[in-house]
Amino acid sequence: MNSYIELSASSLVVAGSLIAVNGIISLALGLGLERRLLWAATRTVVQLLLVGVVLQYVFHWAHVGVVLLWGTAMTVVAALSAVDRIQHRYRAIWWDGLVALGCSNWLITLVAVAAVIGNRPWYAPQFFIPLLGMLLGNTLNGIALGVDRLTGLLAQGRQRVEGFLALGATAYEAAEESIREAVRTGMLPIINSMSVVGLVSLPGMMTGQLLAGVSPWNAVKYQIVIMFLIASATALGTTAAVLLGYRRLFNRKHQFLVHRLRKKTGS
Amino acid sequence: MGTHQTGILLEARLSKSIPGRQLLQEVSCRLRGWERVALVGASGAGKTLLLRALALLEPGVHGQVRWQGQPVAEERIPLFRSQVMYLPQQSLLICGTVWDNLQLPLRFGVHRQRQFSQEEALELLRPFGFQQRFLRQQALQLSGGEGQVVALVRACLLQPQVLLLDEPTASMDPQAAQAAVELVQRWWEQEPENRAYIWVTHNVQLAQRVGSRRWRMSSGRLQEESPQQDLPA
Repeated sequence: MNSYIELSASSLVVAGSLIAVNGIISLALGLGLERRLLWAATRTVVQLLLVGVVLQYVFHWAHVGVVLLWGTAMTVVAALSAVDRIQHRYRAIWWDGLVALGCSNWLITLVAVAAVIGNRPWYAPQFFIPLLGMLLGNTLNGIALGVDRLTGLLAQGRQRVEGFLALGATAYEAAEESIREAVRTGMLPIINSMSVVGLVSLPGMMTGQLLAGVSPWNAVKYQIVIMFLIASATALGTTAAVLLGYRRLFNRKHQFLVHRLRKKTGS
Repeated sequence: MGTHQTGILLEARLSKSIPGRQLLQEVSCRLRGWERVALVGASGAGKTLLLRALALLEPGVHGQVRWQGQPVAEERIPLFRSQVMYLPQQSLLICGTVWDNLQLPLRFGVHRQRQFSQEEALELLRPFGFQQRFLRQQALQLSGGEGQVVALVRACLLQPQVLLLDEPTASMDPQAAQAAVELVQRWWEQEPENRAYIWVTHNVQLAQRVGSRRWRMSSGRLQEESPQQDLPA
């Protein structure tokens, strides 16, 4: 069963012209989105073409160093993107995001390539890079939601947190409700999507495999594995980021360092 | 009462500054058992900051707080705060009934061994005119004054040794404020040689009534005044 159809340049042009629909809607309703739309469409094309070129080389060389370097670059960009969505921040938040995202996602990706899929060599780029990418894309969302919730709750709940501390609570006891709520918020999207996967939409990877001619049965098996990998990476990453945030906002004297929180400017 | 020689409960030497402003200027203070201090001073003089610093709640404070002659080790700070209890001006109330709020501290490890009954709580609430059904009221619907009563009763039920009271009657009507003074007095009289409080107030009469000593904060400095000395209006 192999019915993969390679897209020609003209196919891309036809699809590209469909973006004009968005432009027409923007003009008709006076949304003023034309320039942003053009910029976004241009970025889509340029970024994906660049990635395509680089991946061609990475896949061709299949060198461990190149794969790890590309994976690191993906992780850094994902961490930047996660932190960019957080409203109340502290100075080392970017570093914490990178550590949480990197440790959780690399660990789960290594488990996946070594123990679940079992490809040889373990760093084979056609497995390692898309797997890491899928995990990063989902985990960054969990981390952004979770840490945003944590810092938001703590910033707005200063009186409550300090009231708890004044009554003899430890720093963890004072922050516990916010930590729980933050981890729950970060994990909800993946739990929700696991509940409706396949019923509402076919996930991107499964769609990709079906388009590439893989049998639905095999595509489904891969998708199940991916969903569980994403769920565990998101849980690990979100929990790690939230706990790192908590550690930054309280000190060993059980004091709440609210002055470390700054609201994102220009939002 | 000033002649009693009892142990030093709390001793501190504290400084805090922010760029361009000294918030606490080498403030030295010593609180013995038996002592009842009224802390007065203009708004922004550093009264709240001093109480927060004494309770080790304020980050970035230089100096040391000694509890019963010893510096407070980091891991013992929650225990210290259960004994040297700071009551903020804005009462801490959580979603739930008044009874839930009175029991709130019991969820913290440091108070886990402690227990009190509704009857014990009511005993402290009755002088304020509250009966059994008050315990079932939703705390977030209470007025500011009622909230302060709940916070004060909650603190007294925990039997700390030192109370750091930041304008604890500011939102209460005169009758409730009188009952609050008597409540704190009763808590103190249970074991006066081992208990002490610092009571922040702007009210001249109240300062004279609650304090056997009077401290004044001005621009981050602390001075002792004679309790009989008239306060400026």
